[in-house]
Formats: sequence, structure tokens, C-alpha cells
Amino acid sequence: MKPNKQILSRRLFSQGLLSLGASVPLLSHSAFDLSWLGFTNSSNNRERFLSAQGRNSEHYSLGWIEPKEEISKQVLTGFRGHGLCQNPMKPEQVIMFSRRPGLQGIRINTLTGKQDGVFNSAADRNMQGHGCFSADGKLLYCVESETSTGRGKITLRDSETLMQIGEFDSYGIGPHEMALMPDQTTLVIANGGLLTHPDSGRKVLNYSTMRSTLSYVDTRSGELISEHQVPETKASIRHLDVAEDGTVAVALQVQRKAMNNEELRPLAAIHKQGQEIKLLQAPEALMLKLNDYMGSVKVHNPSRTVAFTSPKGDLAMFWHLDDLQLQGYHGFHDVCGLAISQDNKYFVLSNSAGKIRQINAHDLKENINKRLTFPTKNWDNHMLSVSLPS
Amino acid sequence: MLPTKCSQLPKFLIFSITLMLSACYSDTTAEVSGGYTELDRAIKQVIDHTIIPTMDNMRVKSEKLNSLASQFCNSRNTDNLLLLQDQWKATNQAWYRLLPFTLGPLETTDALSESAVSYIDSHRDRGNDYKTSIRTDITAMLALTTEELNATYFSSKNFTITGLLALELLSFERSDDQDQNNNAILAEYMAQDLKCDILQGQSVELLRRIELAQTGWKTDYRNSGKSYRDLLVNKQLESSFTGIGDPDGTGTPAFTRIIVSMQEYYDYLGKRNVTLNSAQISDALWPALAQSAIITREVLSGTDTTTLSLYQLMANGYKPDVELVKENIITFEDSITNENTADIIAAAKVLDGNLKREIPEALNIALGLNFNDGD
Repeated sequence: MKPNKQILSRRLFSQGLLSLGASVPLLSHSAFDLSWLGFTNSSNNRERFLSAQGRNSEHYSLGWIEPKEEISKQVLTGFRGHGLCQNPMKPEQVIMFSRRPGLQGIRINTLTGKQDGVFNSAADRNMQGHGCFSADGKLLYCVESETSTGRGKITLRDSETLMQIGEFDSYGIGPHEMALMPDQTTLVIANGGLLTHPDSGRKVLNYSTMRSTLSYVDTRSGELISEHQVPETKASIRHLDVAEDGTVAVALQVQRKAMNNEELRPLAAIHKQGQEIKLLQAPEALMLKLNDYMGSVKVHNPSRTVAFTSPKGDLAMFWHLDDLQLQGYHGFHDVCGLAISQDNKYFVLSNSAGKIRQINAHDLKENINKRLTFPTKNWDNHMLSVSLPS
Repeated sequence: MLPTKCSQLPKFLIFSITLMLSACYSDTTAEVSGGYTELDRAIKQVIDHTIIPTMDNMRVKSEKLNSLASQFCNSRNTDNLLLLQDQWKATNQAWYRLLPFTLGPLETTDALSESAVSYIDSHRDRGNDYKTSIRTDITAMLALTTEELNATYFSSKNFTITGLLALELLSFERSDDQDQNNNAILAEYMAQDLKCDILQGQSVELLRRIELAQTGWKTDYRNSGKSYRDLLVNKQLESSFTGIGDPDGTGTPAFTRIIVSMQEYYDYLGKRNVTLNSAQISDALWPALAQSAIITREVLSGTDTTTLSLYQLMANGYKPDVELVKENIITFEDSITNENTADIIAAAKVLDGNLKREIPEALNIALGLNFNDGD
């Protein structure tokens, strides 16, 4: 059996880590935010926003812009991408994962703008759209599924060779987004609970039995630490972000087809270790607009504000992480991409019309001077903000 | 601009124009002049030739309803009651013709406040049937005084007890016991002047809301000094409404606003119990629903004055889709003619899908990559 197809035993898994010299610095951060590593705020650095983009297979690419220069570039991929992550130790390295159920991921060097790596799912595995690096940048964790059973898997790849070196359970069906917790050893995973199969595309095969969980998994052992659910069993936990104090914000998608009522359900929630998941409330008129769908979530640590986007409601919504009160909302057509600007002042929003807007994270007012439009770009679900040396 | 009577043109000229138009239609989203595309031109004609006239029609019908409510109250007799009832039906038909266009002035201007649509048609919001609430409210109002039942009172009423449904119950049943016999209804009005105050109060407020919407479409939208029509056609909404959370500042293109509004209407027909809840006391639903089919066809095929229709744009490479949509509208109409709820729901769902997929695709437009196909 080839190593990259192997389900690692706990012992083999640990050996894999040791062979990579996986000692990790004690750093605290959220999934896509590298401000904690000091790659920010230098006037010499260039801010760049990256996202999967393109309306069809001819145009699918990893696109990026430099807002100061108002320029955009792209690398064609041939597959529709989804989530992205940046290597914390090699900030020029960015990974883009294929959308579920996909089979590929790519690595680009953002300094050269060239693709410098590609990886594929092993046999009986397919990608679920997201992943993240270990804190030392040596491991790439990919969210995948076992094709034959639908069971969620977190595969481990050497971040240099991109070869799979192990895997462990996500402890659920249909895992989607995950992030490393501030302790640097725990992964928090959104198991959406929705069973799909590459042969039937994105068709959900288990509405009646779906079970969505938020799972905490020890990366050292691959063992489940704890799992949590929201009260609505037909709400799929799909996206998440982690605040620097370990508070996890989760975005939900309600599977109305599986329900026999039209009662509105909250689509945003937070979880703190040792507590139950708390749902974030909003006025009914706003909830109604969301059409049961939140597509992305991002925490702004200085203001303790968490933003959620709903392309089906054309809305970005903002709650406070501590008092759980709705702080405001912003209407933006087909908004989904969400990031924090490198000066740590703005929520960056993107949409499929190629537009970018920036909302001040403290007063939640848009800085209209920062509006950008790239008519040839169709920003997909997620956006990543990075800072690169000039 | 194409002449409306092509038969008056020499054949070679028709051929030349056809060739020129074919060339233009190769990409509906390509800019043709001044930042406007062929699709922009077609949508402008949909707004000017279909949506605004439909808004105007609703205003005319509401105005007459209000006038006939006054006439009936001034002279309470069976003839005037029948005129009132017929006009309610005509107004309801005008409403179902307008209902697919719940955007701009008819939509909410603040996501937290109530929309004009909800006020006029409480069922459209979430498919809830508020007849019981309205009946309770009428009983409560009958205990008030004429002075208390003033314009301010009606303006501040919650959307659950207002609009066309309230006027339907006031026109088609005796409040005391829901008797639908006209003699019983008339007798109650004869016996209680306050019931006329309620009828007129509700009809005046309905007209006021319709007038506001019409003014928004044609004259001044949200105190911008510009009509919603101009802001939409000239792509100025995004730069005109930049306040936090402003739904008009989303940057949603005109085409998307209109098509999504229509799609949401058919989604509503497919999901909610419209045939069980709407216009039931008046027994006037079917001709009203038929108006929705008529206006849907008009949006796509244009009117006598249309020079560039959406069907024309779609036909370049997507003729089968044009035929498919035409057939689906006929199927929807047939289901209404047959008064078959299951078929209506099925046909509405098919049209919902056409508006989400085939029509945008044929026009080379994405309603929203994330909206349509998020993960």
C-alpha cells in the first residue's frame, strides 16, 4: 500500500509528524489571518486579495488583485476552486482547494504568480473545499471524504512535496471548513452532515439522516476531543473561523428541503470550549432575506466582531463575539468572499460581479473610496487576504 | 430602431437589418455604446413598456376602488356594493400583474421595516393567512369612533391587518358572522356607519401606498430627486445609496433585480398555499393568477412598441430554450384555466427554474455565482 493512501495508525501518524520535525511555535491565530506572524502593516509590503474565480471551466482560475495598484492577475486551474490558505512560515505559498466533490488542489507562489505545485486526492478520497496549514507550515491539512462511505477525512500532506503522509477522521459526514485552534494542536472541523458522492455530483443523499457537528480533533493523535451540535438537526455547519481567544464562529446552511416547516432558523452561531453552541439572533425581516444560507464567516479580533456573508440574501451581517448582539449589516449583491485587510481595519467583501468593498470593522461603515471593480473577474465563495514583501 | 411594421420594408433591407442584429446579439453583455449593452437596452424597454405601465395600472385600479368605496358609502345599495366588489377583483388582478416586480419602490427601503408589498399583500411575505387577525381587528375598530378612525390610525396599522385582504373581507362578507350574502353585507353597512369608515380608511391607505410606489418608480425615489426607473436604467443606485445596510446600494444589476424578483414570485407560487389562501372569499383568484402569466410573457416577448426583446436576445444560440419557456408559460396558463392547484404549483416551479437557469444562461448573464451555486 502506498503511504499516501494509508490511513495512519496513531503511532504511524506521530512518526510522520516527528519525521517532519513538527515542533510548533505557540502562536494564536485565526484560519486565514497571518497578522499574528507579523506579515502585516509594513509600508513596504504589498497587500493582495486572492480568490477562486471564473464562471465556467474555461475561466476557472485562482485570481488575485493588488488593491493599491488596482491590478488583477490569475492562474488558470481547469477546476473550480474554493477555499484558500497561506503557509504561515512561507507566506508566498498559497494553496487553493477544489470545490467539493473535487480531486485537485494547487499551490502557487504569490511572488512569482506561478503555480508551483499540484496535488490530487488519493483513491477513494475526494476534496471538500477547504484546508489549512500547521502552525510551523510543514503540514498541510486537507478536508476530504472517503468516497465509498462518505466519512470525513483530514488528510495530511508534506507542505513541500504535497505528498499525502497520513490522515485521520473528521468524525462526521461531509466535512467542509476547518481551522487550527490557538493551542496549535487542535483542529476545529465543520462536519456539514450532508452525504454526497462524486457520481451524483452535489446531490444530497442523506437528508433524512443528516447529522452535522462541530468537531474538535487532536492533531497529535487524530482523536476526537469533543463534538457539538446546533438544536436544528437540519442545519448544516459548513464554515467557521476562530478568534484569537479560541471562540469559534460558525456559519450554517439550513436544508429546508429536509424540513416540513418554514420556521426561520438562525444561521450564525459561536462556540466556546466547555459551553454549548450559542445561536446569534437577528430581526425576522433580515433572517428572511438570508434564504437559509450563510456562505462565509470571518472574525476581526481587535473589535471582537464577526462577519457573515449571505449571497442568497445579498447581505453581510456583523455580530459582537461577546454580547452576541447584531451590530449591523451591509447590502452587497451576491456577496460571499470575506477577509480581513492587512492593516487589520477592514472587512473585505467580494462578489461574483468582480467587485470588492471594504467595511470598517470598528464602525461598520463602508469606505466607499476603497470600492474596486474588476469586470472580468467572478469572485467565488471565499477570499484570502495576504501581505507580501515588495 | 426597428420599425414596428416590417412588412412595409423592402426585403433586402429586412435581410440586412436581420444580419446586423444577428451580429449585435453575439454577446448580450458586450458594451455597445456608453457603457450600455444590448441586454441593458432590452431591460430598459421591459421597464418602460411593461413594468411602469403595470405600476400605472395598479394605481388606476386602486384609485377607482377608493372612489367606488366612497360611492358605496355615500349611497349604500346593492348596485354600488356590486361595483365595489367588481372593482376589488379588478384591483386584485392588477396586483397579480404587478406582483412579479417586487423591487425598488415596492420592496422595502430598509431591511428592518415593512415593505409596500407586505402592506398590500400580507400573504406574499411568508404565506401566512391573516384573515382571522383582520376579522378580529374589524371587530375592535367597530368599537371605536369616527374620529379615532383617521388617516394616521390606518397608516400605522401593522401589515397583517391591511391591504387587499382587509378590503376583500370588508367587501365580500358580513363582519359579524362572515355571511357572504350581499343582502347581509349591505344590511351591516346600513346599520353601522363605522364599517364604512373602516372600508374607506383601508382603501385610502392602500391607494396612498400605491401612489408612493408609483412616485418612486416615476418621479422621486427615496428623496433622491431621481426616479427609480432612471436610477436603475442608468446604473446609479449603487453610487446613490451608500448607507450602511442599504439594500439599494448592493450593486445588483437591473436585469438581475427584475429576473430574481420574477423568479422569487414563482418560487412563492410553488411553495405557498396561494390557491387555498388568496382571494378565496371573493372567489377571484384564477383570473388574477392568469395576469401573472400574461405579464411574464410580456416581459420576455415585449409589447407592440418593443424593438429589442429578451426572447430576441435569447434566440441567438438558445432557440430551444425560448420555445421551452414559451411552452412552460402556456402550461402554467392551462393549469390556471383548469383551476388545478397541483398543476399550478408544478408549472410555477418549472418557471422558477427557467428564470434561474435557462433564461440567464441564454442571455449570458449570471444571476450570481454564489447566489446560484454556493457551497
